[in-house]
Amino acid sequence: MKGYFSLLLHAHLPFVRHPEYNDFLEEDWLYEALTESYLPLVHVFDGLIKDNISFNLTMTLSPSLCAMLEDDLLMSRYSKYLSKMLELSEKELVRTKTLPLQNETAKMYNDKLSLYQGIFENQYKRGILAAFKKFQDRGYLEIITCAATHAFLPFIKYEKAIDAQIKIAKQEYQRVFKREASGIWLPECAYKEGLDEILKNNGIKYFFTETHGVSSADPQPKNNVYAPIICPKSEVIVFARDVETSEQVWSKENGYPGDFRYREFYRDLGYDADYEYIKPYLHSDGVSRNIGFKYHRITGRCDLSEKEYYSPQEAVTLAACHADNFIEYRKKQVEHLAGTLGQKPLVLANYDAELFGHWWFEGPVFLDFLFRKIYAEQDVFELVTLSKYLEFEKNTKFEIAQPADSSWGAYGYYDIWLNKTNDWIYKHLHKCEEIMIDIAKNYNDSAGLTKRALNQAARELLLAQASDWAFIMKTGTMVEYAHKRTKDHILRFLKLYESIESDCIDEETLSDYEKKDNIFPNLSYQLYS
Amino acid sequence: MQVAKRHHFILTTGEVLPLSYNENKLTLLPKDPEIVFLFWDYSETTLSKIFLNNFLVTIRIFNDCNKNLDKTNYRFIYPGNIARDWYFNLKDTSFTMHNLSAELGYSDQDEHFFMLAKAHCGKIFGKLKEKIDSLSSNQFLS
Repeated sequence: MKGYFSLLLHAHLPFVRHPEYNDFLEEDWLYEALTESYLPLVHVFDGLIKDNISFNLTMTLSPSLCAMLEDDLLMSRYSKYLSKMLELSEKELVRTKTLPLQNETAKMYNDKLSLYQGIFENQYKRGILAAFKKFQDRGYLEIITCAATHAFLPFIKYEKAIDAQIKIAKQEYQRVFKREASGIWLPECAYKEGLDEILKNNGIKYFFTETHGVSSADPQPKNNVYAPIICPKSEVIVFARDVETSEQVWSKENGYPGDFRYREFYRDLGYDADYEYIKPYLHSDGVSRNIGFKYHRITGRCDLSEKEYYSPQEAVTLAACHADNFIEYRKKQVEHLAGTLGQKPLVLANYDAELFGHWWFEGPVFLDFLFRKIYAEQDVFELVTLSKYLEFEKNTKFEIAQPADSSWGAYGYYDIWLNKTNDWIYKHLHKCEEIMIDIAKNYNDSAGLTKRALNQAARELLLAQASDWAFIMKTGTMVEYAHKRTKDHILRFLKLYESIESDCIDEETLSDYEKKDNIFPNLSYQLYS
Repeated sequence: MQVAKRHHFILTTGEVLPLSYNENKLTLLPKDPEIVFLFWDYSETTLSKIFLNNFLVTIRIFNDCNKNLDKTNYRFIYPGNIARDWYFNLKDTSFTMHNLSAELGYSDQDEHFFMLAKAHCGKIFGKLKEKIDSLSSNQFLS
């Protein structure tokens, strides 16, 4: 083998759970990701194992996502959601009976939904984290962690508060996966000098930056991003994404998901169908929305009304061709780099996990073909997890360089999380951090109601810190929800602080907060002291 | 035992975040190689003093973080007495060092600067050699 190829999927969603409502629009983010990405990936991995195909990949399962995937209420709601979707798919078989172009797609939805229901309900008993744990325990998958609530770490003011994000992540990882996390995905790949030292103190061995985090390191590494670098002070290892590989999948213009034969994301039965027909599958507010049944292909740059019908079989064939193409490029790339660098290069491809399935519907099939073809049809590069790579290359002396402060947001700096749409949050977040550290020290040995209030205050701070809220404020969709979540958590935090300081904790209010924001039940506020 | 509150803010009955935390404080956050974001807060006492004496809210930015910083290499910002934040453009300066520090204060009628609070040191971004503009994260939520 002339080099290595490593695939990393970052799976994360913000913690969204609203027991105060019977159904809640933003909870659909999780349900859609389960149906379109996480369960299809589990299905692909189980299929590969069944067929004795050796494969390797790395995945982040963020602590907030893990918390949701373990939550009884959310999983019970998802079970209902899946049943409703399956019910709709059966109606669709009838509706499209005389429409052959649509009926093939309707059958596909019915088959997939019934398969995923079986995986979710019967095979994994509503606990799909057990599936990922199994893949890791059997050596196919390496799961890495992420900051507890996906906070944008460079904008956390106090080191203690950054440390708490990492410590909680490590604790949750140990609790769920019964082992130590070696690697971490820095939320938004946001790095600033010094973060690596906090990671080191928490036993983290490696992390990731965007391409420019390493290619612009000081000194500039000779191997560019095709070998990791080592942080000068902490000796923590840094990997960076390969641009070429990313572009093949991410690029809106030239990426595979944009091929005209793949499924069109934006045309949806939720708007196409007769309102009375689709109404039982909408939320209780009755507002039309995408429901995930899409019958058209991308077709080209045309109006949604001009889209042609989708052919699932044609799309599957295309995914196989794209997997071939991807492998051919990797072979050429690895061969070229091996010749140029004089050592085995590592090509690292990092993507959001939800790209595969949710945005790019055929993404999981593409991965299935990719793993099978890498296993059977090439011998130029070795497919590795990052820990395996480090084990194979344990005698290699990686270059020592200071990674550049950077993120993977547009422009490469911190702009997405700091601009006119979201800058107001930092004044409050910094104050809450300061207060949290202060009260953790002052009530170091509390018990009973005070202890519960302190733990809940920590949860509210953590939830307010999620980078997702600032991101949504910038992107301009669901902004109202992002504002509300940020404000709600900050206000709950401040009210808890007042009640702790005035020794007047209202148990009913505290219980209400605990019920709503129940993330990390084993959390101890003392992490902040 | 009732403990005196150490942090002061006003929570109204509505779901509105406090306007102020009643303290003199300045924070500096680098946004990109050209822009740093500054935000600040004043205590009620300071604010009264500024308004009663017609003082000007003033921020002083230094191109250094050392203890013995070069007191000649700085810029004043006069954001007005209502503003609580400012995007400072480094392109308009001759700053060459990689670090910034800033002070929050006010200026009297004789243009004397009185410092009230200091911001933590901020590191200016280096120029990235290779930027990825077409990619953005969290596409699921966009």
